[in-house]
Amino acid sequence: MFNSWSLKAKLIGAFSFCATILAFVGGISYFRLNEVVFRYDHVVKNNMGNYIAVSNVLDATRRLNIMIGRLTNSNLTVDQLRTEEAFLAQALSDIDAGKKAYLAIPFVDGEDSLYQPVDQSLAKVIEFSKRVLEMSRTNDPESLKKRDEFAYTYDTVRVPYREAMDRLKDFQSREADKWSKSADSAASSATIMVLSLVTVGVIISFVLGLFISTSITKTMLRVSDQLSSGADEVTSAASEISSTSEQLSASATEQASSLQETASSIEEMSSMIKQNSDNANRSSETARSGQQSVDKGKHVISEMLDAMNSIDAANKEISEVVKVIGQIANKTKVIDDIVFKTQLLSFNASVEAARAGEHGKGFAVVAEEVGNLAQMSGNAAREISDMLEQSLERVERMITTSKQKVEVGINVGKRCGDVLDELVVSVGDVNGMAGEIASACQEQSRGINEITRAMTQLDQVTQQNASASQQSASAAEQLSQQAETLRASAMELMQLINGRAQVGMVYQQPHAVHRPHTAAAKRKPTQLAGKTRKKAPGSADGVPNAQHEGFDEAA
Amino acid sequence: MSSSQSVNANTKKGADRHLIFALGSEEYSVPLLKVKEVIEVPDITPVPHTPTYYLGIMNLRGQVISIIDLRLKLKNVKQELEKKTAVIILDFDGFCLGIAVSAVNRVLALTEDEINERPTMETTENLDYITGVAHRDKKLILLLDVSKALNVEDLNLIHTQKTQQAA
Repeated sequence: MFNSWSLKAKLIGAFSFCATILAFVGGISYFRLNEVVFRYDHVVKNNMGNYIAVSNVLDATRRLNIMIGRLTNSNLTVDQLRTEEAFLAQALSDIDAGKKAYLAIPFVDGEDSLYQPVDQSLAKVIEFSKRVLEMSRTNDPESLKKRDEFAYTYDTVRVPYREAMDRLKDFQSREADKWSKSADSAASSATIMVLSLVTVGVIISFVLGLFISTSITKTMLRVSDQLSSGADEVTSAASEISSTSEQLSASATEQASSLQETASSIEEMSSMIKQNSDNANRSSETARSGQQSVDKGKHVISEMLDAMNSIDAANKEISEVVKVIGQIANKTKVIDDIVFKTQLLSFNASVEAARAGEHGKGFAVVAEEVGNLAQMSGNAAREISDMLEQSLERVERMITTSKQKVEVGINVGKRCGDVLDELVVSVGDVNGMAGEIASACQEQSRGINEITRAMTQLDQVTQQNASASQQSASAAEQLSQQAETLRASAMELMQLINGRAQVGMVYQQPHAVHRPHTAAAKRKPTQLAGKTRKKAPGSADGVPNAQHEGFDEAA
Repeated sequence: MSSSQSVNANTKKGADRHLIFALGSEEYSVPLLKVKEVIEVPDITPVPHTPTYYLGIMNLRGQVISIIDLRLKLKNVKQELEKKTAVIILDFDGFCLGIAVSAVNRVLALTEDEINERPTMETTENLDYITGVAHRDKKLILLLDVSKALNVEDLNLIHTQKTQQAA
């Protein structure tokens, strides 16, 4: 509930509470003091007045006593009498004054009963005195003697008066004692009460002041912390905005240059599209001529197929050659047989020559020669047959490969024909597509015009962006300055709250709280700030650090 | 030139003429004077209850002659009868025997210098039918005595043939 109050309300409440206590204490003190003053006043005015009046009356009556004493046993001259009369008159007027003074003061309970005897006895005393004086006006000794006798009876008047007077005096004395005692007690109790009230008020005021100042200081500290951290954040944000707007400006510039490049590219594109359109027309012409070429190609392929067929026929002739070679091989076998038989014959001839002994020697030589010739012709026949076999294999391989090739060639030719047919279709498609390309080119050139318009708008927007980014940069600078001002205000607030000496230390703490991960790093500077606080009062340590941190964050 | 040389060689003293033939890839020889005739492979009539190397009998101008597969006999490898295969008819003092060989190569006159003693060989068989080893043109030729190569059973068989023929 207390927190919902405004600061003004709090302060006003606190001070009015203190004022209330003060007024209460003052009122109590005033009333008690009044009471005491009243009592003492009573003592001074009533009791003391009574007492003095009684004393004056007593004094006057004592003078009457003296006068009576002087008159007794005396024979006064007229002058003396006159003196005594004056004396008596004086005493009587004093008594009257005393009585008046006494009666002026109001009576208390029981006083009247004491006063009446005094008054009566006093009247008797006065009567007695007057009578004594009257009786003294003669020079007759007898009457003087009578007077003396009468004077001797003074005690009958004087003693009751004296007793009544003593009682009154005692009463008055008691009254005075009573009133002074009550005044004393009232004074002491008032003192104690005022002292205790003052003590309680001081304690309550102190506690209240402590509480309010603590709560307000706490809140204001928090607020100023938030203010200073807010100022930091604003500073970093401002620098970020500044860098961002610089980047924006740079990118706007880049964009502008890119836009120019794009514009030139689009011009190139437009010219290329024109070329494309021309090329499309040309390619449709080319496609038409391509169709004619394909027709020619088909003719050529049919000729090629004829040529392939003739190659096939030639292959058949070559297989006839193979047959001839086989016949040659057979003939060679015949030669082989003949060679073998000749050899056998030569061996038999050798045998016969050996049987003939010396006579067969010449024949043996002949037989050997025949054998050798047979061997040679056998070798030759073997070589021929080997060569024939090789050439046969080769020719057969040739025929098979050429057959395969011819088949492949025929297939390829047929496929070529198919492909050429497809080509005819494709060329027709190409022709159509070229027309489509031409129309697409026209659409493209229309699109290019639109793009050019859009580029112009984009260029304007980019320029606006650039100016906007510059404005935002200046705004960021202003923001930064305002953040500085805010920081200064926060510092001022800190100084207001903590006094100048503690600002440096207090300023560091919010960072340690806001960034726990850097708390260890910050602890040293904080301690340093705490140490240097006594040497250099003010925020010389705290503020630059905070600024550096802010810039670091921005960077 | 070669003919005059061979004539000279043949007329050397102590030179014996030999018929060189092949069994597979090796060359063997028999003395030329033991040879009666060299013929092509004739029509051969197989004879039951004879060893496998005994090919059969043949008719040579009215004379019945036994034919032995010498390669199978000596090397235990069957002789394939093909075009080059020839049959050498040997004359053993009256009765003739045909041996089928892989090929008949040539006639050579071997001097005694060219013929070496049969070398000692690690075998349990009787190797008396090899009479010597001739070397010519870096090739070795085994000189054979076919009658020794044929054992008693063969000889008996041949003899029976001969007696039957005589009868």
